[in-house]
Amino acid sequence: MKNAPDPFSVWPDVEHCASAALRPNLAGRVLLRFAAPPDELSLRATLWVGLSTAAACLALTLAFQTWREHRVTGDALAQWQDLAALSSPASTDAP
Amino acid sequence: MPCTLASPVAPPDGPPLDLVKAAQAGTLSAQSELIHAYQARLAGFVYAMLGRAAPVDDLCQDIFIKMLRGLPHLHSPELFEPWLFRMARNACIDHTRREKWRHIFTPFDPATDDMPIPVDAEKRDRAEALLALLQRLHPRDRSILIMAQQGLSLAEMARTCASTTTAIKTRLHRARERLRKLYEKRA
Repeated sequence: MKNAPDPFSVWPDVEHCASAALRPNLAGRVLLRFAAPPDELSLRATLWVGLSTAAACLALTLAFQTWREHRVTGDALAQWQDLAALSSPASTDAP
Repeated sequence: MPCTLASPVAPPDGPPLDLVKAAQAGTLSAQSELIHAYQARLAGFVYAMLGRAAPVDDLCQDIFIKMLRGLPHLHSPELFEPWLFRMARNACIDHTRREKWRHIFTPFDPATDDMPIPVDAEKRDRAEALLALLQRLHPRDRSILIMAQQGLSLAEMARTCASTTTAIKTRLHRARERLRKLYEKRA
């Protein structure tokens, strides 16, 4: 514990390596990119993603509505069939 | 005597308020000077967070561009440093998440190899040894340790992490203990 090694004693080496990993003229490149008009490709990609998401939401909504209508129709059909069975001559005959 | 981490690299006193305000106003020379002033520290932060040299340049570029876009909306220029490191921290965490998904779908992508850094091999080996240990910590703890090493105060780190000073102090202490134990095991 008394002479425990200090891991951060090599921190200056980390900063030195990090600086060496930077390509030259970072400030110039950043300012150039900042001043450039928005990338057309990324605009197209954003538009594509937005439209796809909207289309998917619309498709899901239509599918859900269709399912609901089908369920309601199915319920109504079952009720009609029950009524038809009750009012048929076979069901009204006295035992 | 308990093991203590080396005192952090003496930080600059923060950028002069005039420089930040001039950069906010759009003065190119001020923006360039601000980038120059912070590029080494930011690169060190990103390198330590990610543990790899390959993404450092691109990520630093992205962070500085976000900085330039967000500068007009920074209402307190005196909080520039914690604001910048908060962006850097979030960018590193987002990058790590994206890489995780990329590795799932392309596990044998050669782009995952790191790039060689043109420095003295001994320095590189020492730095990589420390970074390997840092990667074993939780990203939150890692970012706090690195920010402490960069010279940010507890209050600034709390602001960066949207936490309280007490919580940061506790977390920092635990992270240092864990790193010390990992380092001793390795040694």
